[in-house]
Amino acid sequence: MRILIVDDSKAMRMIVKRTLRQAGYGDHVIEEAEDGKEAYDAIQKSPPDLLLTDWNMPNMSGIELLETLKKTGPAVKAGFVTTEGTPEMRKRASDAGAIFLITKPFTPENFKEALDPVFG
Amino acid sequence: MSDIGVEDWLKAALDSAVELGSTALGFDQSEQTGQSQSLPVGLGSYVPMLAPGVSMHIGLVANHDGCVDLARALLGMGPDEATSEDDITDAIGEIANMLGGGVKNRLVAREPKLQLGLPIFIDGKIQAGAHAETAVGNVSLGTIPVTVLVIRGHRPNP
Repeated sequence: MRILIVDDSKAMRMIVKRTLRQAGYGDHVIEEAEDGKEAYDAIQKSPPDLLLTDWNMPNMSGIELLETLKKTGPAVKAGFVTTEGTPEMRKRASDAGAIFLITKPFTPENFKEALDPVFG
Repeated sequence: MSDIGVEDWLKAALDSAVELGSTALGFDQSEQTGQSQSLPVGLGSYVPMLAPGVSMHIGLVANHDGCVDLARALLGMGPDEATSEDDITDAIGEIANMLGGGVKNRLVAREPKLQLGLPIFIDGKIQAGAHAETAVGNVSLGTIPVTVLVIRGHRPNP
């Protein structure tokens, strides 16, 4: 399966990749994008099986990315990996189609809890 | 104007920093080590936080070696692994981002429209404007001395 990680921080993309491995998802193909616009363009060409995105990013934020994908397609399973964990943000994430929201800082267990239901 | 005083902002930032020490950075022990009167000089990242009547910057500052060690801790690197300046800038920015998130989580009940901006990295001395309020505190993240500061500008309600 292909997982697209979207975060403007290269450090955080690396940490998410490492945590995916630690959570048992190391066998999947991992791709990266630096912001929502780059992710959107990549998704139009070839939709991933799962999108993991940050919230606050330049050019196009993660929430803008999901809200745009909801309007234009394609449909992609998506979740947030973000510092934004307030109830209001969780609701907005859910309304935009996010299946889960993992807050930073996170552990491999947080990832397993969120992703196991997605991957069955 | 928000009813959250600058000392409350600092308390939230210091609590968030100590929490990050044990979570994202993986240190066995992190603690608050006192407050300061003057703004720090060093390398640091600052994240803006805005709401109607609220204009804050939350900053995290350390010396170069401290920033290298913080970056290595965040990235899970060993003490002898090379880190580029870009890696350090990126990592400190991400730590500041999580610091801001922790502050927001602690204060959002009192300031529901609080929004977090994108961090910037600065090498040097910060000067707050004449109308700004500041509060500065110190923490040890593991053995790394770090300064945490809050700067409140005055933003009229729209």
